[in-house]
Amino acid sequence: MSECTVQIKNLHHKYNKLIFKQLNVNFESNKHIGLRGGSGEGKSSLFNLILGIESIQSGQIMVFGQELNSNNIVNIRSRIAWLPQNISDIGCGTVFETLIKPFSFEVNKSISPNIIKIKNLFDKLSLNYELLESNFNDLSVGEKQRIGLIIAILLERELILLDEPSSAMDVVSTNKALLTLAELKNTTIISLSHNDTWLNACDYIFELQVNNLEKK
Amino acid sequence: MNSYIDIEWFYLLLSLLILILPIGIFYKYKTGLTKIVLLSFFRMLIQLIFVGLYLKYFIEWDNIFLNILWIIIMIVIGSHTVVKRAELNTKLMTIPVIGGFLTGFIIATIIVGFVVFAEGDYFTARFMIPISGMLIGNSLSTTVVGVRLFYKMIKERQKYYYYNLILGANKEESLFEFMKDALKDSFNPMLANIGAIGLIWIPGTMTGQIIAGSDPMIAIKYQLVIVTGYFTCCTLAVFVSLMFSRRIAIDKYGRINNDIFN
Repeated sequence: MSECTVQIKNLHHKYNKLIFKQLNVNFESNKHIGLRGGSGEGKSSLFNLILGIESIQSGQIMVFGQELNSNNIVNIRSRIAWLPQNISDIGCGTVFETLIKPFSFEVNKSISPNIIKIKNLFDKLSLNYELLESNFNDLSVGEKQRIGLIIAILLERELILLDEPSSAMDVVSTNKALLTLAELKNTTIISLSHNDTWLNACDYIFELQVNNLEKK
Repeated sequence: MNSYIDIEWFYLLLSLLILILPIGIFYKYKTGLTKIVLLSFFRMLIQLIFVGLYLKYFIEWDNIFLNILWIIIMIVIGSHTVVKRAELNTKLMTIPVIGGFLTGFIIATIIVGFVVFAEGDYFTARFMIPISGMLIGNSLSTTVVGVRLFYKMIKERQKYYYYNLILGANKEESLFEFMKDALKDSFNPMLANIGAIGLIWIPGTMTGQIIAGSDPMIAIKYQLVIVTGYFTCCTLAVFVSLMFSRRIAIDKYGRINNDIFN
């Protein structure tokens, strides 16, 4: 069996209502995995559990072969990048300030991106380089999503979690984003999405059905 | 210059009649504040009579243990007020705020008590009780604002907090902006006030001393000590309260404990 970046065993999770019942699923390493499901069915909860934002009620989640606990959570998170659904919440000042903010953290200082790398990603995602000076909050949601993707890519993490990454992107931007992600080596990507173009580009798709994930 | 002029109770109560003017304005514009004005002034009157009585007896008895007990009561009530007005869970958050207030108070008292009143008079009730009251009382509103702002930001910007945390920020880094904004916004008004002392207003300690017949030059020395004391007390009270309460507000996984909010 190939290596798995995320392994979920017998996960039972309730949040107002039952979300997962005895969920068992493995997310294979270095693949792009799509997750589809209706609103309010707990897709975002799954990310929150993997990231340790919500506590596990019963069952087990292993990330990079380690069960999440308070001793390893910082280390595990430092190997993950995340694009949240509410992308507007991540802004802090200008686009440039938002972009470089994660690299002010001690753990990321050694991978601070150079301007050429940033410019290259702007070009790949059809973003105007002059946007760097704009206030992040003045951008369209689609532009914010692409900035969020650039941050996730620049962080060079082993696992990238994308929550509705293309919900406000047009088809051209969606395809460009997918092409850019496809260039990443040794990276596992898990995308929660309703967008068929996005999901069709995944190596495989899971569908959230009746408190479980079913491989399609 | 040791004489002071007493105010007759009759004239004092008569002077309160001037409240008819603000009450009239509030009434005309249906602000709903009329009842609150009357109640607040009535409460103030009763509370001040009690303060006058207990200060009179505390100064007479001059017992260090009673003085300390009184200060502890002031700190506990002050901390409870901070937590309540910051709309936080009093059961969870009062103890860390007491810790913050106590730290600020002790350090400010060291400055005021040991350094300035080197003669050793400070620990008598005459100095200790009113000056402690000034330190705690003047720190209260700024501490309320600081603590409230910090937790308001944590509550409203949880997603931003988690985003930074997931992308590698440690606890200090992920809370840095909230700490910065809480300190900046809570201390700006106090610093503006301090900067205006003597220019557009004469503060209570000085006013009181001058009215009581003190030499204005002595009054300003006391004022300087009091301002330095309450500014230090307040800064430490906010900072230490936040540092202590963060341990309850955020668990080992960096998750926000939403039970802290009311």
